[in-house]
Parts: sequence; structure tokens; C-alpha cells
Amino acid sequence: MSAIHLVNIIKSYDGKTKVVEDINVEIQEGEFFVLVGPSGCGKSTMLRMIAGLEDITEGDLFINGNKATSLLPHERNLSMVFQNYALYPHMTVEKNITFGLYKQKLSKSEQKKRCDEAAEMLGLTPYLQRKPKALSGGQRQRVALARAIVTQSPICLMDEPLSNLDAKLRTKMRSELRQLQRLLGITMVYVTHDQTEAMTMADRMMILNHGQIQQVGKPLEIYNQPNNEFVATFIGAPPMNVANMKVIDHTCVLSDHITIPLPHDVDPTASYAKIGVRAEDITLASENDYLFTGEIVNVEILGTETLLTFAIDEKNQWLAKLNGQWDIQIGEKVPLSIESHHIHLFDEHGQTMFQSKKKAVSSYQVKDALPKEKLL
Amino acid sequence: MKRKINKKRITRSSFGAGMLYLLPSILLFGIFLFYPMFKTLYLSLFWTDTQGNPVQYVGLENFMYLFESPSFMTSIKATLLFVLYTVPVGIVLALILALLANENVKGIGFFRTMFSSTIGMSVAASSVIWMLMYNPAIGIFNKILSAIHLPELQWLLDPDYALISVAISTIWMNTGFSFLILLGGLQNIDERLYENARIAGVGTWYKLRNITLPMLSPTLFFVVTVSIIGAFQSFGQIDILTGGGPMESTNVIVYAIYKDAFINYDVGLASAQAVLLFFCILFVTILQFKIGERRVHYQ
Ligand SMILES: Nc1ncnc2c1ncn2[C@@H]1O[C@H](COP(=O)(O)OP(=O)(O)OP(=O)(O)O)[C@@H](O)[C@H]1O
Ligand SMILES: [Mg+2]
Repeated sequence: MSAIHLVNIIKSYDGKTKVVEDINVEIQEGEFFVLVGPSGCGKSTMLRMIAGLEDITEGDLFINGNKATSLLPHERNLSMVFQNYALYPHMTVEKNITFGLYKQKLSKSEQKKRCDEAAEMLGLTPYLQRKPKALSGGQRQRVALARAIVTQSPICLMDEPLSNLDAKLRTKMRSELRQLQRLLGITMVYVTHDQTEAMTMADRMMILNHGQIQQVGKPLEIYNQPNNEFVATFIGAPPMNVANMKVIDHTCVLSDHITIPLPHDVDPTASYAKIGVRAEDITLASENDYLFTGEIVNVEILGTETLLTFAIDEKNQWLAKLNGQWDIQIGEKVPLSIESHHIHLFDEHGQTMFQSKKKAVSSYQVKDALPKEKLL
Repeated sequence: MKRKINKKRITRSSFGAGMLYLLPSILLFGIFLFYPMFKTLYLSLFWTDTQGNPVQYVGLENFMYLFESPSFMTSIKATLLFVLYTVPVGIVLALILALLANENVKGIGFFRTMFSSTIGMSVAASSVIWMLMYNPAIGIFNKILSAIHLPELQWLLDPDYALISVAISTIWMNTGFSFLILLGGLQNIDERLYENARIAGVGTWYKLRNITLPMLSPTLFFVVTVSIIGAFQSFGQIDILTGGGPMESTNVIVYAIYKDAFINYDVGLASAQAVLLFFCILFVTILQFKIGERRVHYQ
């Protein structure tokens, strides 16, 4: 049974323009489900409809199989964490945490017990008697989390909960949150505009743009087999390289000097308008796979990888990502190669016509390749 | 050594620049506030002639006279009662209106304008209107009373009712201001706090007591302070509605000061009352801040 089921959901604030449209998705119990998309695409709106803070204009919402479209927020048995934490500045941390237990009619000692448990889990015990003002951003964030946890609601909604934290703390909280969610077995619906957060945290994710679902799936599936140009360029850092091209003689022609042969299993007569290549699929060429020469306009060395920027024509630049550290100078001409079955082809509307068949390598495959005695 | 000199020079020149920036407001305050204040303090220690010039230094005699004067005691009583009648009711009323007007329903803008409209009426104009309404013969209040078969009242002429009548009209005059400030305070409260409460399912009353009022407390504190000071200083409506009567029942201190200075030409005595009023307001305000410190939650 799915924890949350959205059926043909439509939302319109003014009765004319639809902010989200035709949303159909099932979120499974215990799943970490991420809603991701650019600013203004309707993520918060969707989350708030699930929470009951916003009316659903059309369509139906089911929670645990029961129709919940018109239930009040507190009847839906869920908790929510807001971007700015929404802590009560005049209450102590303890009061803030137990605030959500109001409706559950627990005894004082049970409330205290739950509060202490949650505080313990999140390292808040020393701060229980403080006011939120006297906490750091990260600690406030944890108080907001604790407030959601104490309710023991099976579903937790989060709207960009990490966006007010600095980069380092965000990375740390990302993994903490994920572990906490696994530990408690909560169904999590998590909104973010940061594709890295989505990729690293999600069991499954949904990409929204202009209020419409672009793709739903596991992070790697979406990364490897994007449905369209938007998803391809939105997911992944750096984003996928895309360029206009023409197919001539079973070859993609990007410019005078850059051509990439079509894979064998592609129908050469279909109308392709654009080609996409992931930065890591552009490699330094050896003698027998040389495709074209790139003139390097920028180099970024990140320690574990090197990012090369090169021009493909007057206006457009592509990125290549090489593993390891490469001492390449700006202005250098570098021979480059792309394996043809790693390319993505899009039609003029940006829909994917051909996609690479990349898949993650499982550890079993690695083990099979090794001699048995080495695995001990 | 050299650095030290430099530093000194910078401090001195920046002090000069700072004073320059302050000059306009120091001048304004000086001419219209500090000078009259000290002049009043000075005059309160003198007997004065009818022009208000000090004639003879008498020390605290003016104050002694006041404390023994039954008329001054009536004034104090009237002033305190007036504050008591107007401030709590006025603020609770403004708060209720602000809470209502803070709901997002269609056409709420109309009500917001209506509720705050008294801010645009001068005290004089509204006093005249209220005087008509209180008029025993043609006023609407007596019409209503007789319509529901109650005895008619001499609103402004009966010593038992005059102060209350003036207080009612004052509440009406002040509501617009308090309402507007309180509404502003309400709208400043983060909507997420209420959304979190909706998810937790807390009731309206609990929400009001545990979120709205604490979050509004700085604004409430401001409104209470300003209202109390305003009530202590009310003058226009008393001058127009009752002229301090009947039987001095509405002769609040400010009005007594006015009468002593400009009708009885006893500026020394008037100054002494002004000084007492000043310390009275100062005391109440300090008391309020002391209480406020514990009760008000600043963000
Ligand atoms: N209360 C509202 N009334 C009218 N329009 C609204 C309201 N709330 C949001 N919108 C509109 O709905 C669209 C989606 O807003 P939403 O807040 O869901 O975006 P989002 O994906 O959460 O963006 P962000 O990443 O910036 O938070 C926006 O175009 C916004 O202008
Ligand atoms: Mg949002």
C-alpha cells in the first residue's frame, strides 16, 4: 500500500493559471521521496497540498489508502519541517519540541520522555531550556527536526530544510537526516531545489518544471536515462553538455570540426535536433578513437578530477571531466573522444529520442570478475 | 606616538561631524521641548503675575498648596479614572478588531479601512459629533434609550456619567490608531508559525494565547505605553464636551493646568501641576518598562 497517492492533482491559485498540473504519483511507505525542480516550479505548493495547508483545486489525495483530499492538516497524521524552521521564539527548546504533541493528549511524563528521546537522538539535550535565539542555525534546524520526530507521525514533509545552513553543515545534515529517516522508518517527502541533495538523499525523486512532472525515478536512472533535455541539464553537476546538430550520413555534425558518429542501433532517419553528452563521457583521445580537438579555455582542478572547458563553436562551450589531476594549460589543443553509445539525442522539443544505456556497476559484477581467493 | 595623535584627531573630528548630524534635532528638541520643560520647572517654584512672569521665589509652596487642595485631588482622581476607563477597553477593542481584520476573507480591505478611519478625524471634529450624539434632546443615545423604554440620561451634564461619556468618545477616537498598529504587528507574525500549529491541530484559543499574544507582545507594549501617555494628556475632547465640568468631575490634570494658566492666570500653580503630571507619567512609564522586560518577547 502506498503511503501517499496523488491522483490527477491540479492547483490553481487564481482560478486561471495552473501552478501544478496533472500530478500522478505514488509514494511508498518508508520511502525517501524527493521533489526537485527550479525555483517557482510548484514544489512547495505540492508539499503544502499534501500537508493540507493549501486546498487541492482538482484531483484526489490518498494517505495510507484513505481519501484525504479534504481532511484538515492535523487529521492527516503527518509532521512538517519548514525552511525557516518556524520555531516559536518565546518558547524554550523543550516547549517548542513538545508543541506538536498538543492534540495527542499525552501525559506530561510521556511528553517529557518523548522530548528527551528526540533531543538525545539529535544532540539537543544540553539546550532544552534555551530559547531558539540562543542557538546556532544548525541547532535550530535540529530543534525543528526534533519537533517533527516527537509526534511519531508516519509521514514527514520537509520544505528545503537545509537551505539556510552553510555548505559543510548541509553535507553533514544530509547524511544525518537520511540515517534518521531509515532508523525511524518514516515516509519522507523532501523538497529541494538543489539537485545534489536530491541525488544523494533520494530513494526516488520527482523532477518538476513549470508545475509539470518531468520524470520520476531512482536518482541514477534519472541521471543516466533522462526523459528530456530539461532533466538532462538539471540533474548532474556539471550539467550535461547539449548542442544543436544535424545528422548527415549517420554522423552528428555539431560544427565544422566536431562530428560524432551515431550509434549503430539508432534510426538515422528520425528527426534529431540536439545532442547531449555528460562531461565525464568526454575523454582524452588515444590514437584509435580520436574524434576532434578541443581548444581549452578554462581548467578547474578539484583534486580528484579535472574540469576542462572547451569551445565547440563561437558561442557554446562544453565541459569535459577527467578523473585525477591533469596538468593542462589554457590555450592548449587537446585531442578528445566520445564513445558513440554514450550520447543522448533529443528532438526539437527536447524529448529524448535516444539515451545511453549506462547502469551502475553492482558489487556482484566486480566480485565475479575477481578470482575467488581474493575475496576473502 | 604618531598613531596616537592621529587617532585623537580622528576622534575629535568625528565627534564634530556627529554633532553636526545631531544639530537639527537637538535644536528642535531644545527649543520646543527642553527649554519649555526647564522653564516650567523653574516657574513652578515662583509666584507669578498675570503675564506669567516670576514675581517671588516660594520654593515648594505651590506643591504644598496643591497637595492640600481638594480640587487637585479631584483632578487626580478624574485623571486616573479616565486612564482606567479608556486604556484597557480601548486596547481590547482595538485588539479584537485587529484579530478580525487579520483574517483573509474577501472584502476585508473595506473593514480595515473602516476600523482605522478614526485616525483621520481630528479630536475637535469628532468631539463636536459626539457632543451632538450626547445631546439630551436631539442626540441619538437618548433616542435609543427611549426607544427601548429606558430613562433618558443627561450624558455630559450628570457628574456620574460625564467622565464615562467622555471616555467612550475617547475610546472611539483612539481605536483607529491602536487598531492600525496592532494589525501591523499581527501581519508581521510569520505565517509558518500558524501553519505549524494547524498541523499540530491546536485550537483557536490555545493559538491566541500561546502564539499570537506572545508574538504580539512588543506591539501591545508599545500601544499600551502610548495609550496611557495619551490618556494622561487628553485635552481637546474635554475642552469641547464638558469644559472640565460638571462639578469638576471631568477636570483632569491637563485641563486643570490649562484653566489655572489661561483662565485664572496662576502660571506658577499651573507649572507645578505640569511638573507633577510629568513625574507621574514618567513613573508609570518606568514601571511599565520594568514589567515589560519580563513579559515582552522581542524577536
Ligand atoms: N499564495 C499564493 N498565491 C498565488 N500564487 C502563488 C502562491 N504561492 C505560490 N504561488 C505561485 O505558485 C508558483 C509555485 O510556487 P511554489 O512556492 O510552489 O514554488 P517552489 O517550487 O516552492 O519555489 P522555491 O524553490 O522558490 O521555493 C509560483 O509561480 C508562485 O508565484
Ligand atoms: Mg518553495
